[in-house]
Amino acid sequence: MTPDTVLSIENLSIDYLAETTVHAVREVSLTLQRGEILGLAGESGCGKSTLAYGITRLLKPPALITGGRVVFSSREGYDIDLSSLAGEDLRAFRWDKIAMVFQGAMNSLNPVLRISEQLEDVFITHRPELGKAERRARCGELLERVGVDRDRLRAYPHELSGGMRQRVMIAMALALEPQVLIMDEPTTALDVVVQREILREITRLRSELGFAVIFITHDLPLLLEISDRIAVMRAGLIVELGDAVTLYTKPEHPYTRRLLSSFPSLTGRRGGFVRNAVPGDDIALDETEQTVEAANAEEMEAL
Amino acid sequence: MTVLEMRDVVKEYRLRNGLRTTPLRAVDKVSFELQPGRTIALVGQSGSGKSTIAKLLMQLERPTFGAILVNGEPMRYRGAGAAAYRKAVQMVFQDPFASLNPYHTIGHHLARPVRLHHPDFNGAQVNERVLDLLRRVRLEPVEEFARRKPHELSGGQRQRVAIARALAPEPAILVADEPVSMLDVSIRLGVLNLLATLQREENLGVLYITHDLATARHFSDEIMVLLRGEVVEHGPADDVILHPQHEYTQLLAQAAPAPERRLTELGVVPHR
Repeated sequence: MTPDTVLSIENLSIDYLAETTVHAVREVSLTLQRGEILGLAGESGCGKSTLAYGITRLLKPPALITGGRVVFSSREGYDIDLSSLAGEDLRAFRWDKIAMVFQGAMNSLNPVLRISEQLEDVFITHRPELGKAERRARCGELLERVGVDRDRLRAYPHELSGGMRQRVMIAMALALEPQVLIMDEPTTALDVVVQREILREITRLRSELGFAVIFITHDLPLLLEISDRIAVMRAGLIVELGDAVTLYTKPEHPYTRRLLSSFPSLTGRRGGFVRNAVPGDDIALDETEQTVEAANAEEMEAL
Repeated sequence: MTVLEMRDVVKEYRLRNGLRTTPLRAVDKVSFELQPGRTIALVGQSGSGKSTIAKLLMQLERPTFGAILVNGEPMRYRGAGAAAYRKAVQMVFQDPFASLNPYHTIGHHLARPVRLHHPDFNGAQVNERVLDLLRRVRLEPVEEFARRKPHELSGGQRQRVAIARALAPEPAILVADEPVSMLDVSIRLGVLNLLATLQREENLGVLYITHDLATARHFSDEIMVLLRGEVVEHGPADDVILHPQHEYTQLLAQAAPAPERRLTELGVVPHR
């Protein structure tokens, strides 16, 4: 492990012990460098959220980590194997070193509590030595840091727009200055303009605070724009990992190519679009199950 | 052949605040004409009035001012005129997980509109029609899909059922409110391409409501950009996206993820 590595995942496997065992994550190995944005792309059901929950040990049965380990190397120079933590240690570790912005974060605020109470909760749990006044002040600073006015502290979640709620969630994740931030589809429910603002905010905060980000989404063009490296996941495996530019210009794996071609480009060519094609030329118009299965078989062979 | 036209349509909602009311203009003097075989995309941020326009067209709301014209005649809200209108204009909803009744089979979902719009059909004819609809949205083997319940289908398959249901009364115009935003990226194109094929086969007029500029550009002939209920830009799709005039359109275009932009910044020549 190089000194710049903050998180290294080694051969991590996660199964769901349902009627038939589902191998959701299969021997995934990844390293996350300090201050890096690592994109994790893939369609729903490919195991990307399960991987994120596995890193933070948030999985509940029937999910089970069947192999591998996750090692966190702190800035202060010690390593922690996450599977060795339990109980109070795990609880203290979680938000402090690795924080998470959850999927559908807009709906994960408690509707009956003011923003201030929910933000202060983090400090009450993790920094019990702080006095009330100082807690308040810290919460105010946090909100300002993500671009929300300080007096919004007294607001209830429903009084804020979707973008503002998302910012509050990011503020909450940043409260303890974690070294790793996992963001699970943080902008999916937002419209493009707000999404752009949030992305700018994330890149700005990263350069200010120097945390590393694992950014999970199915929106590949977005990842190509903001990440340093991208991992493409399919059926629990990482099929391709590379820096953003290489992945975009020279995709190796057929699945990456298919994923890239399913996004029509805004200014460039039409991608897979065939709206004005000649009638009779429309065999590939619709992805029927057969064509998808054929493509899948081809891709699995290449694995 | 149905031409649908909105002429200076205004929709105001009253916001009550204690005893006082303030008007909120959700749609402000919107005019457009939807021709058979053409697609108009309606783009804008959330809250810009896109869905209010869909509601006005579906007769769920009535315009405060202005007129909606069908083939040059004012829209009818009652009687035979209204029935004919509801047959001619159909809608595909955003969420395929919520728009199908979990208790009923796919066949039932499609048979209902067929029966309603063809009271003269007997059972065998209705069934034949249902299977035909499934074939048109390429859910094969059709007999098996007709027997299934919604939970046995994937999101993309459900949305195709929703499209088949909208096609059941043989409409002339389809209003598609974010038809692919709930679907997985890898199947979005498939559903849109299917919609485009069906449009060509039936010569449908389509109003495509979306916030995704890239698909709006490739899928439509014209784009209308909506800002706080007002149409700020309206023109051929490529013009609006590639040469946006209004600053709000420029803002939207810049906000959309564009990997090419980063490549240019890094000085790499894309070759794909």
